[in-house]
Amino acid sequence: MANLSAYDARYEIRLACEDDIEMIMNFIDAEWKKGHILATNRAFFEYEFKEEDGSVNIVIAIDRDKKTMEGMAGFLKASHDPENMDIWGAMWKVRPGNMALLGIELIKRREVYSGCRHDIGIGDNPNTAVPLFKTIMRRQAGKMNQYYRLADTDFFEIAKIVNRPLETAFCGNGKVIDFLSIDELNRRYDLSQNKNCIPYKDAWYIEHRFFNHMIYSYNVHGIEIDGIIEAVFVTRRQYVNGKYVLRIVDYIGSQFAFGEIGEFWGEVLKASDCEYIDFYTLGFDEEYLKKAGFTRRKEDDENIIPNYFSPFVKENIDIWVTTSVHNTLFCKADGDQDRPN
Amino acid sequence: MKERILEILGSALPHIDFEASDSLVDDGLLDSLSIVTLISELSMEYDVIFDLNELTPENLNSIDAIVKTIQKLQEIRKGM
Repeated sequence: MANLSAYDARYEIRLACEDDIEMIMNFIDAEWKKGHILATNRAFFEYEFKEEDGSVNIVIAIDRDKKTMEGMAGFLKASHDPENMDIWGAMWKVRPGNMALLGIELIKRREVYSGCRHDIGIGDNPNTAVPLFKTIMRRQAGKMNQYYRLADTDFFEIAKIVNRPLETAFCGNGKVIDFLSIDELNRRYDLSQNKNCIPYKDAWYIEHRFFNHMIYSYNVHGIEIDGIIEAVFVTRRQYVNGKYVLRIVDYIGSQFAFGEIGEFWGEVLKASDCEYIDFYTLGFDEEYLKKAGFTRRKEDDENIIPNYFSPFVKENIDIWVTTSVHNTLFCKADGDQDRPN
Repeated sequence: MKERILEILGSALPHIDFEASDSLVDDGLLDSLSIVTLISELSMEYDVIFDLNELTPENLNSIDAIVKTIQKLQEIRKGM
């Protein structure tokens, strides 16, 4: 194909391997951010991108003449199911001065080399990446919604609350249980029933991403209704300035079930000393979030529900996403969004 | 058509001299975000849809190549 030859003539474009890791880490340090965790912590880099067979989930472009790395497009897999594997883009960067659309070429190759069903964007820069995805890749773009539920207090140090929301939680009949391992979860809930969901998250993903995370500590829960686990969700408690917030970072299964545990969230807020609980998501039926007592942060909201904690930034933050599939569900921990920096 | 395209692009991307080079993409004169602008402007003017496969350096490297690409896209639209 003619469009491949122009790029292939100038660059060697391929999936990275173990021998490339040092070069990629140096590229991240120079072109992304000096001292970035993926430039300084090889073990964490390998946790994020390296497969058991030694392949590395990053498409790289090497200038054939200069022998230098000129671009990268990483990806994180939502499953190891070859038929239904969705990926999120991560660490997409081209050094300035290269051929235009090299970045787009890397995304096109990423879709081919990864063998994915869908390539999903999360945390994209609204000024650079989002216009490229919208105009050139013709993806849909949007911002995730941030929902929150406040503790029963008037004193907030992490959040800034000007207008207290009036949402009232419905007392449903859902019961929340804890899963301490992937085996416990598998015994009660068959993740493979969600193969048609986008993205499909399998047991490998849940174990790797949450139970075995190298740095963060997550809690994995199930929502039981009439003795059956209808949904799985994941939370992480975030400490800042002597206070805590609770973050819902992932959700799989029946969205109706979320609306049945409003009472649980109230108890969590009382027992955990958290100022608030928040949940960044897009594609989630708002009716059930409201039923559980959650409020959507509005555009230009005077209330501030922070998103950045290392370092702490007391600002409302928008997270942009792109997808080519209508019914994609986005959650906070998708891709590399809930990751130490 | 060439004059009109030059007029549109001259207005939208005044920092690029589209007649000065036959390697606008290869030489980095036309960067990715400039191509987004080019696509947006020419899609509206000529009511065409840029297929991802048409967005190659060869099809955008010169004003003549851009004109040919628009003509090709118009033909595709007529045939739809």
